[in-house]
Amino acid sequence: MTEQDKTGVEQTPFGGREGIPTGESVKLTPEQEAARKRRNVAIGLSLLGFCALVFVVTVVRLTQNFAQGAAS
Amino acid sequence: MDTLTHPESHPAEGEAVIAASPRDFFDLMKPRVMTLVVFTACAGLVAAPVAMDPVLAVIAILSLAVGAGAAGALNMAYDADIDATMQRTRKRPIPRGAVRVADAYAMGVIASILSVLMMALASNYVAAGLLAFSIFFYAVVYTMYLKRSTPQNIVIGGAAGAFPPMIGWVAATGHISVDAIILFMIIFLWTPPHSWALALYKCGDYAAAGVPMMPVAKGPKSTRLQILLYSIVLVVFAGAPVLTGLGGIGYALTSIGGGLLFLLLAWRVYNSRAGEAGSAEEGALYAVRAGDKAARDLFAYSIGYLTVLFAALIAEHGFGAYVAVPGVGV
Repeated sequence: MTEQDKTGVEQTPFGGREGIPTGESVKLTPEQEAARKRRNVAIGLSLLGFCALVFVVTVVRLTQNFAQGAAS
Repeated sequence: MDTLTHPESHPAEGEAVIAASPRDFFDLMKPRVMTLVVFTACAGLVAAPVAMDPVLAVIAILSLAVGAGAAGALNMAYDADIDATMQRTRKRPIPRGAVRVADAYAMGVIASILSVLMMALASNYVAAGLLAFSIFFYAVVYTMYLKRSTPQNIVIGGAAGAFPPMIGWVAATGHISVDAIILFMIIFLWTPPHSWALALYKCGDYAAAGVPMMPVAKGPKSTRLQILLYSIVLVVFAGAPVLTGLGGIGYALTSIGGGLLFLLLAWRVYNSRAGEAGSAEEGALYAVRAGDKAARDLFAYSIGYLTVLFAALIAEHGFGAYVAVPGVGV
């Protein structure tokens, strides 16, 4: 299989070869897929936790400011 | 790319990309160190004279823990070559091929930014600035420069580990005071005898890795003397909180009792031949040759000593156990 067969594009010195689908892929084992899923879940939960913390801090800060405003 | 189409052509790298578990990334954050960081930071926060909103306090401590973990990840990324040669560290995630160096750097940088940002939101900019500086100091000044260049590496670099109680204090008060500096200095002075005790019975490990720890660069005898001298300074200085009124009777008694035992163990190390037999065969943290037992005992006890000192402060200021020492304090 030649490069031109796969991409349909002539290779030039500054051609965008990297961005063109080649049809090739990596076959993950079930263990690797499970590990990837666990990593994705962990990243998702971390992002969710970060958003929740920002929300909680905002609520507490706003509450404090309202209380200070009411007292003064 | 070849690694994409034929991952088996680079098995170690390919495995690291696609087989790492969240636990491997968590291990990058040095959870044991994080525990001590959180504990000492809690002591600083609780001992501060200004009460912080409990929710914000928890978030500030969490930010500090993540920041410390981020610094640990950056440290492991940069020191992957050293860790791979040392028995004690060769099972860390990067040397055993579970995590790529680039991924560790990415995680360290992202976690650093988020932790500092969250600290600024939950407490104040001074605490956030101190957190940012401590991460920089540990990851760049200590890890990338001091560690490989001078036997004073952990003396100067110990400042990074001394920041947590100060950050906890500043998170509550918004400014650095004498008491915050005292808490910083206690850990700063504690670090050399603690780290050198470990280095004495793991010096073969450090020598093999080319790290100029004190026993490797100056020899075991000089190290044992310096351990004793630093221990004396530490134990005397640990009484400083009593003079400012930060520590009450409970802290004073803990400091005196714990300090005397610390000095006794440091004296035993000084009179031992610790460090002269090379490293223990096994890589476990507390594995030791017969001649190095005194150093191992001091290393293990030093952790307990620091823990009880800060636990006394938490008990006095967090649980109402504070009784002022008559005739001293404010």
